[in-house]
Amino acid sequence: MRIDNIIFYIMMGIECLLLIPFTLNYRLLDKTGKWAYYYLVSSVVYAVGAAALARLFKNNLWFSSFMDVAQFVILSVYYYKIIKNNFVRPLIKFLPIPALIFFFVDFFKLEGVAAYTSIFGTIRTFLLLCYGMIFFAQLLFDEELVKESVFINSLPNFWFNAGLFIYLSCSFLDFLTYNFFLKLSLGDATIPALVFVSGILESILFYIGLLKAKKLRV
Amino acid sequence: MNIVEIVIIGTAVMLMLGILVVVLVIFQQKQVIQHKLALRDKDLELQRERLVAVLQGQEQERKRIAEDLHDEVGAQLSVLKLNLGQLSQHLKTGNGEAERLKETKEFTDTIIQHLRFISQSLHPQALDNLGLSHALDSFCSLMNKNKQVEIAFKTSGNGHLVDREKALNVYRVVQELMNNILKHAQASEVLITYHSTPSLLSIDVEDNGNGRLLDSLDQSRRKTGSLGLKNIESRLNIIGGSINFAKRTPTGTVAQIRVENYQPAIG
Repeated sequence: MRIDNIIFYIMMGIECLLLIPFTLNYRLLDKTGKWAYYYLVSSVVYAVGAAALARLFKNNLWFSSFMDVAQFVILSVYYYKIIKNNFVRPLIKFLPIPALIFFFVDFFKLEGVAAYTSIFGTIRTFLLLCYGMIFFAQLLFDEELVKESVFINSLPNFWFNAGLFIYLSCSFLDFLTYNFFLKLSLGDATIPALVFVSGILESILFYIGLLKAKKLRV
Repeated sequence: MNIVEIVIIGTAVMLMLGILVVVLVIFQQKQVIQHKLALRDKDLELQRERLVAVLQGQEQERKRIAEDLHDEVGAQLSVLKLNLGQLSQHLKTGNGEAERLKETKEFTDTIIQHLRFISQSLHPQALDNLGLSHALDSFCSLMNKNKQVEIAFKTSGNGHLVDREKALNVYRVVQELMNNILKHAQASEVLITYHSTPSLLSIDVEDNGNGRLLDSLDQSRRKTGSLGLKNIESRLNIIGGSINFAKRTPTGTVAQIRVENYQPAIG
């Protein structure tokens, strides 16, 4: 078994395990935390579904493309709820619509049904990275937090965003070059391995976020 | 270097950058908060120093007035009393002048006693000469002479010296508490218990009043203009002490004053 496959199964196992404490403590999560939980559920579905389809049909790219859209919608709602900026919020609300249109164009016309929607995936990742940066900036310049001496590492949303940010940063180039490498048959285990490592990091940071949410509620 | 290697390096760099951004965000915000906390601490320290200066000025002024009253007005009244005594010896007529003179002498005595009480309240000489325990005892005796409330003083383990500044502040706190009890508690008995160990000074002020002292203190804590309780808290804050109010069974209130490390610094 290739190294990237081993790391993928480790990541999938961690995500499945992480679902247990998240589900048990679902009531402790606030509205935004619940959307982070939905994202986690979608990640498990993504990982398990992709693995199953790869074994059954030898092609799971269409599934990956659709899961990317689903996760983009979930994360757009999540960022819409945590970002306070009045200029950015309507943009986050509006952007999933053109993104969805672009996804269908990419899926049916540009890349094709049998390929991965690389262009949509890259744009989606870029947008989510921007949202993540905006949220970090919001936390950094939040006068209320400074006034109340609240350290941002005590906030669950900081950890959820940190996990997402690390994963999205690492997977950006992978999404960009995925179809290109597929067409040229330049398969390499290192890039997906790195992406799955960042996925494991994301899961750990999500767990820290859950611990912080519990601490805040108790 | 081929394109795959470039993308691998790029992905690794992006991963590192992602982690770096998260770490930097944490540290940057931590630094901002720590800076603000340091500024707030400095501000609090400045406010504390100002408060200490104000209270010290107030004490000096009280001391000066107390000395003036005791040394000048008190002395003059004593002379007046002596003169009245001499006059009564020379008085020969029996038309009631002797009684009038006796009344005047008694009245002078009352004024002298009041003057002593005021002078003692303004600045307790016993505190400088005999220490906190004796000063509180003397304060109770003085209060007993002037008020309807019976005040008892109990002491144990009072062999430990109390730092002068701390003693004065504790004395003022007990004084303020007594004022509050006389004003609001409608008590007939008050017990002041003084206890000291080498590391802790404890003074309990118990009254058998209506227990409303606790409510009135709670209300005044919320009010902005309540000086009595603020005074108590400020003074204890300066000397690192604390106060706790509790309901006393069957009736009344207990105020527990605690001061740690109260002994004067050596050297």
